[in-house]
Amino acid sequence: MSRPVVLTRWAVCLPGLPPGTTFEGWAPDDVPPPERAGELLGRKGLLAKEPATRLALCAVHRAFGLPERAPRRTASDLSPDTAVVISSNLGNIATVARLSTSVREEGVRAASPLDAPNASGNVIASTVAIWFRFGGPNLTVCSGHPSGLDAVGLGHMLLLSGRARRVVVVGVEPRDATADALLTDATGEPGVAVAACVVLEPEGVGAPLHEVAPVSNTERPHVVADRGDDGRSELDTGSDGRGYGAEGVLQVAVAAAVVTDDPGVRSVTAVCGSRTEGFRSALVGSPRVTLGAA
Amino acid sequence: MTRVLITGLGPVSSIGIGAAAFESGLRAGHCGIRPIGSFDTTGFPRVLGGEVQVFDAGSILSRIEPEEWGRSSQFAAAAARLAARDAGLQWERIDPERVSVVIGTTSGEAKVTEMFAQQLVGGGFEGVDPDIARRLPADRLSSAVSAELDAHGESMTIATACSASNYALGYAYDLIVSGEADVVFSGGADSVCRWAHAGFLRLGAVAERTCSPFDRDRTGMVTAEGGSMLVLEKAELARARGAVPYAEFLGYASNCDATHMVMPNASSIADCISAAHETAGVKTGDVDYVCAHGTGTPANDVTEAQALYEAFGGDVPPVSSIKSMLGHTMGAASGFGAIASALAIARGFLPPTIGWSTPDPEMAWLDPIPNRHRQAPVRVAQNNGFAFGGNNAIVMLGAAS
Repeated sequence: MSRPVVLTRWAVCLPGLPPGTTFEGWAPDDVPPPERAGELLGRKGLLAKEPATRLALCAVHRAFGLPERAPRRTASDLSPDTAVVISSNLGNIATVARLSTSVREEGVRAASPLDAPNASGNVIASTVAIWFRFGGPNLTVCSGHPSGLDAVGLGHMLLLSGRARRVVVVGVEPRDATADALLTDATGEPGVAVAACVVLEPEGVGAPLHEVAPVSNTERPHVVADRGDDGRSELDTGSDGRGYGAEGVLQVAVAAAVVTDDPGVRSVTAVCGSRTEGFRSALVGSPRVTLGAA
Repeated sequence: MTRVLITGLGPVSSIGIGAAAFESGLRAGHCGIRPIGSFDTTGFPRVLGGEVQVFDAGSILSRIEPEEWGRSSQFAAAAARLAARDAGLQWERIDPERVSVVIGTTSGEAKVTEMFAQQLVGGGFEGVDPDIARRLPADRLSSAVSAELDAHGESMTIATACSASNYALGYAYDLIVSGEADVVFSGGADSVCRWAHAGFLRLGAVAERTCSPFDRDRTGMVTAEGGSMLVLEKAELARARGAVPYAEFLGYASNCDATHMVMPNASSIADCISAAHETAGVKTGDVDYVCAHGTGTPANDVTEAQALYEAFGGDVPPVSSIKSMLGHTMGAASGFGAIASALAIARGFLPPTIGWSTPDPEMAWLDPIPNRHRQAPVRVAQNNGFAFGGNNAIVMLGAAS
């Protein structure tokens, strides 16, 4: 994937952090916790929506700079060329565990018809498409730790192949007891509630995304800013690297924010994955640096 | 432009394991649907399922140990191993970094999830066996295939529900066309489980007696399982090694209705069909067979028929649903459709819709290839895959020139 695309919009939602938290070079967006998502999104349509879905909707809402409780788009406002790619490993795991448990304990009638669509792995992606009327390709990736950059790479591919004119990529993971238990077993520590959104377009104003590719010469996830003669420095994404399926998208959103706001940064390299699942990297250039020179 | 051939097929299904057995099952109109045996269906008003009752992963797998993986991963890896053998790949001449894996699924390791929930109820989170937790993540499906094949390229699991394997096949195609891979193993896998069956039951989608897609008296779908895998190979390399392809991957299209979680939209599906034809460079008159999504639910079948009528301008080629034989294998479903389509092209026959008896007045014009397969040359086949949330993906295959 040699031809760059442009990161035109981004947002980061870390509702577990105290309001007003900032990091060097960037700051998370102000969002309510999932149970109060209606304060940002408007209440209508949120009934039975899970925390991960609500977080993803908040991230897209912020990325597009919509006002609080903005009117929903109507059926005639469909964007057929806008694709949605979601990365989430644990997005609906609490619903699935609850459904499985209740059916085992109480029988088939314990399964709520409202819960049934939430048990489908693609519920976040399709809900984002329905909410914002995005009618392009609609994908959900759950590839473990590299999943976030898998999703960004998939979005890149959708643009290069001409299958979409705009791709909304969201990485999201919920924080609940089920997710904590699974992630602690897998990694030794619980995750964080996080949603990050980046919007990719073939051209426009923003930060160029040069490539997303597998990488082998690394041992751990990291995000590093290249400041030219001033050296390199590691960036804090606010998740302590515990964003799991959301981490790669979070890294790219932070990279886009930093290269845009800090004129001293020439590019940012993001690497996510794990030793057992492999690593991927993304290179985000500065809007001020000529393409290909980063 | 880089061309992509399908050089290997790996079905693990209730009507046959391996390409030859699966083809025989399709030709015979064999029905793999039975009362569910893998869990206690007491209290369930509808109990049919399409389970792979005779499946010995150990007899198929070469590198990974079945007991270390869940049932869906076993399906995926076994299907991949069968596809690899069927393709006759010369592994010593292949760079493993250029072999990728893209797998679709709806419920991932559904049975492991069920065990997880059972242990959760019994002893809380402290009572969950770490081995269960380790085997649960859905990305294990693609990891299992990569480990079984020692493939070092991209390894991705796509969870776009019931159209997941068409999405996976599409991405696999793009990987080869963009030059990022030479060979991609792609398809899907899912397992029958209690909670998914209950969920579909509560949506009123499950068939009462049998699965009869496109029949006037159809009552719904049947939950099913299996692994479907295809070998997509860069044409130049396949030709160089003398491979005999089943079909050429002509192109695909995908879109989202973006209107409703569970009600499909005919107009949006028609748009997807037309886009698939355009990207594949075919006209409606070139298509000789449509392997339908055809779940057997009243809503899906009439909507799909309307979409086909609209996209084909009323001149719709023969259409069949292999779910009448397999049931709905969820994330593996459109992979099975792609395998059936490839076989239809390579062997010159149209798979039937079994259990069909009465035309539906709302689609009286539709030829469902009722009950018996039909010998017929197939130049181009269209494989439909739709999912919850209006996720449509359509793959176009053609005769390999």
